[in-house]
Amino acid sequence: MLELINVSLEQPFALAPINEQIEAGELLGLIGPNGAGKSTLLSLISGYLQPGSGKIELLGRELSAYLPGQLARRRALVTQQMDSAFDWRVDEFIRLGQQHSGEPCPGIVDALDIRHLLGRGVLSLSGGELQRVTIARAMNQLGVSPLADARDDDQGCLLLLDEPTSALDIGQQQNLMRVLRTLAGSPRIAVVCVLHDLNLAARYCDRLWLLEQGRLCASGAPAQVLSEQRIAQVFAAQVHVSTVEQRQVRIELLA
Amino acid sequence: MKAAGNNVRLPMLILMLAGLCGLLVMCSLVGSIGLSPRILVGDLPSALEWQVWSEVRLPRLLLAVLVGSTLAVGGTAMQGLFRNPLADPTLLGQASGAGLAVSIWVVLFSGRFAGLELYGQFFAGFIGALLVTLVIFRIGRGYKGRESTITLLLAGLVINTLTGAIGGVLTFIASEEQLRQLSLWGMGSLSSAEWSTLTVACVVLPLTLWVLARCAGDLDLFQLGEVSAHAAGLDGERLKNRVVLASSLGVGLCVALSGIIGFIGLLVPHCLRLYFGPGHRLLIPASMLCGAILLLIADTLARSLASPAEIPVGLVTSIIGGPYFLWLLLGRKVREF
Repeated sequence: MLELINVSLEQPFALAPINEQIEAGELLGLIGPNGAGKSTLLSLISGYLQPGSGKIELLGRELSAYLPGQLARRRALVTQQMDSAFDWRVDEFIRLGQQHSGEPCPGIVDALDIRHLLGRGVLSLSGGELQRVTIARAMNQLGVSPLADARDDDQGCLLLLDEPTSALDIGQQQNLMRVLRTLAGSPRIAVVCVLHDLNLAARYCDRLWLLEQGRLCASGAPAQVLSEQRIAQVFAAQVHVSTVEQRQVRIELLA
Repeated sequence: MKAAGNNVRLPMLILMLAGLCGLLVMCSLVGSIGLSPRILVGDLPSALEWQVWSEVRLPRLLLAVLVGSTLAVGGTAMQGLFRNPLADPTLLGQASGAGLAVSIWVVLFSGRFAGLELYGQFFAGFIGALLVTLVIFRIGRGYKGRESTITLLLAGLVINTLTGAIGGVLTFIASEEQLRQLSLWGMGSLSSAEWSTLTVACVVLPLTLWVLARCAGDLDLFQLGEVSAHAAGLDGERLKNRVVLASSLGVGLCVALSGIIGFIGLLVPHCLRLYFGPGHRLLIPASMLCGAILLLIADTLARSLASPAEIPVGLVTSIIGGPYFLWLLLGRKVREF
């Protein structure tokens, strides 16, 4: 679905050349320490930043060749922070940027457990509630939910999320990752998600990209990427990694 | 106060439009010379009354409607663009920038371009407002939340003080007649309304209102923040250019025509947002109507309270708007900034 061909970026966001692909039907996790370049890479993939060299193709067409409206039907982005100056009602906020006609895509509101928030203003929400509402808006922009696909064409789409679980409680984290897992189960949808919780990344993602100082230093299935040695090297953290199932790993911090 | 639902917002717009029409009728009859309502149904009055109504009152009311609408919509659009409820043409210095440019034109260039006096003044107002907007935009960039508000207010304070100081210097080189002209105009007044000056306003101001109204959907998206708005399909640079140019043109022309009339661009969108919510598709038409209504009322008070003398309407709006702004700063709403 998305291909990065020798993509790099100069200072101040320096990213070393990356050659990778993101396939439809996969949930890809971007992991790495603070300042490794995860959000910068997400901005590149979203088309907000232009690569210094190389090119990014979405559905076989270079990102820069899309008009803003066309691109908005193909990919949506949830940024780390959403600080609205004005008190949008949640149901109106979710409709912002909606690319399909009619009502918001069914299933989003219940899947993200925000139905009880619909009549409230976004300024009155807690950080976690606002984060779920912001994710709902991005899903509605694309017209996708775990229950339905409201898009009126048969091309694929890409959902990009930058630390979507950072303000969520443990139950909501699990729920969101399940929702993203279900979305990525569709052969037309790919989900890319920046995560700091390595256990969440290991549990739910099909593949991981590990970034360190602007360089993609590992890519592959969680069990391949998350080794004790690599985590110690990249994160400077002492952990114990155990294999719980055939493909899955669990990471425990050592005292 | 919680914003009303969609089912009651549209009828409210219609009610406001009806209110504006009713006010226009009432205000056309009130003033230092009271007119009989019979003038409205074709019952011919005296020549003097007819002249007052058609040559003085009507152009003035029309100017009040145009200027009030433009200042309110300009404020709404600037608040949307800066994502900040304090972005008002007066507070940010747009109006005083336009005012200074007009003063420079009057003092240094007036009389040198025969036949272009009025247009030169309009153009100066536009350039002054545009320059200040660009400077403010540049300064406000890169700041977020409370930091952005404080930076913008400080920048506005500096620009207002600076333009005031340069304006003060101009008074030393201005002639007696220019001084009198500038001091009356500077306080904000619609008394210069004539059909001849209105022709430009009738073309340019509705045009700027139309451009800003067309930006409503994009301004909504812009509230997501630049990165998210881009991802939602917005061409942010195009939106900024359109809003900055249109609001500068509108505010610049309003200042050239009627001096600095403060607080309309701050008060109107803020009050309306409480009822209509932050969506610009309703907020902009509502601001047009409410701005016109507010300035019509303020101007009628200005020319009636001390009749036959006239209080500059800018003083009336400041007397209403100033305390409201202070209440805003003191009240709990300040947390939203």
